[in-house]
Order: sequence, then structure tokens, then C-alpha cells
Amino acid sequence: MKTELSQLQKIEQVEVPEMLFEKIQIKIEYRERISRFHTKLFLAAAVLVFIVNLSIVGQHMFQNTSNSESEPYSYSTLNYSLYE
Amino acid sequence: MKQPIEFNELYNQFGKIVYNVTLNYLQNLEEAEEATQDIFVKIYRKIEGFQEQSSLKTWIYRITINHCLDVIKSKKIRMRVLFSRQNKEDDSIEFNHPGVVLEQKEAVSEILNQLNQLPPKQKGALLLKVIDGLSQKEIAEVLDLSEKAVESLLSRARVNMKKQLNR
Repeated sequence: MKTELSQLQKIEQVEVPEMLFEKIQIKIEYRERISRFHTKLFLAAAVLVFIVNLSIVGQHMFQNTSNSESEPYSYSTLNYSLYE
Repeated sequence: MKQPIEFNELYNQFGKIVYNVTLNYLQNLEEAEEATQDIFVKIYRKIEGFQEQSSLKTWIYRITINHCLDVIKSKKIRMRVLFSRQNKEDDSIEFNHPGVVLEQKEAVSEILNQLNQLPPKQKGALLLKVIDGLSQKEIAEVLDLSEKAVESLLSRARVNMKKQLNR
């Protein structure tokens, strides 16, 4: 068994392929650019959701105000009108 | 980039080691190059969080072995999806290792094929021991196991190799 495994020790170290470091640098820059893009996309989506939410809440608030202005007794019930 | 000089030094120190480990593990030139690139991208991203609980060498070996295990796992899944495997013997691949002299090629290729039949952790432990010459303690740190576990992993790997060679 030892003899067979000793065959593996005959494997010599190989030199790295040419331009490997440059390729690594390109990959790092590319992935960082992608990650920055994703961050920006996420932020833009978050801002958009916030604006949409704000507009919905604003619309509701506006509707409530205008309702209460046009109907002074908006909560009047049958009983309430009877008392009157 | 964050630390161009330090990263450059790191590459000069460990580039060859990482490439050779991936080459021995994956036994494919293109895959080894691709894996080395991905491993250094991981190293670049994680180096700031390196706690120095283990040596830098062990840490880099750990990232390398884990990445190779992931590559092999995804390759096996892909193969299973593409082909319905009928025979385990089909796993043997023809790989012309550039680090082997012509006269040794056949013998080494046969041993590498036997090695590929071993479970991934046994294969990893044996490669780190025999080719990279790591100590049992270092292998334990790389594979995140106890020294006892590495000892039994290596002995099981040797027994399995022996069985396969006797077939």
C-alpha cells in the first residue's frame, strides 16, 4: 500500500497558469461592481416602497380630513338623530 | 481594491499551493484554474475577518478544500441530473496530470482513479497527508476535525484503497 501511495509523492508542483493573478483581480472587481449594483438596486427599491407607502397613508389621511369636513356628523346614527 | 499589496503578497505566497491542491483534487485543468480564481476571491473577501485562531496556511487550505468539496458536490448533482448513472466504475476519468513525468503517468493515473472512488473527506485527508505533507494536526485544523478523527479517516482511506487495488 505504501508503495502505491508513494506514487502520489512523485507528483511535482505545477506552475500556475499565465495571467492567473490578473484574472483574479478582474473577477474581484466584477463581483464588487455587481455587489455595489445590487446594493443600489436594493436601496432604490426600499425608497420606492417607502414613497408608495407614504402616498397611500397620505391619501387616506386626506380622504379622512375631507370626509369630516363635508359631513360634520359623520358618526351620526339613527339614535343620534333621534335625540336631536 | 482594499489591500492590493497584501493581497498580492498572499497570492505570491499561496497561489501555487492553492492551484496544485485544486488540481490534485479536481483533476481537471480548467476547473482547477476556475476554482483557484474563486478561492482567491473568497480569500480577498474574508481576509479582514481572519481571526488568527489558526495559521494563515491552514486557513487558506481550509477554504481551498471546502471549495473543492463544493465543486465536486455540484458536479455530481449535475451529472446525476444529466445521466442516470448505472455503474460506479464510470467515475474513472482520464486525466493527464501535468506534474507527473511520462514514465509515471500510467501508475499515478491509476492511483488517482482509485482515490476518486473514496468518500470526499477520506480523499482530502489522504491527499493533504501524502502530497502536501501536512501533519495530522494540520489536517485536523483544515478539515475541522479532531486529531483522532483524522487518524481514523486516514486509516479507513488506506483500507478502502487497499480493497480497491485488490479487486
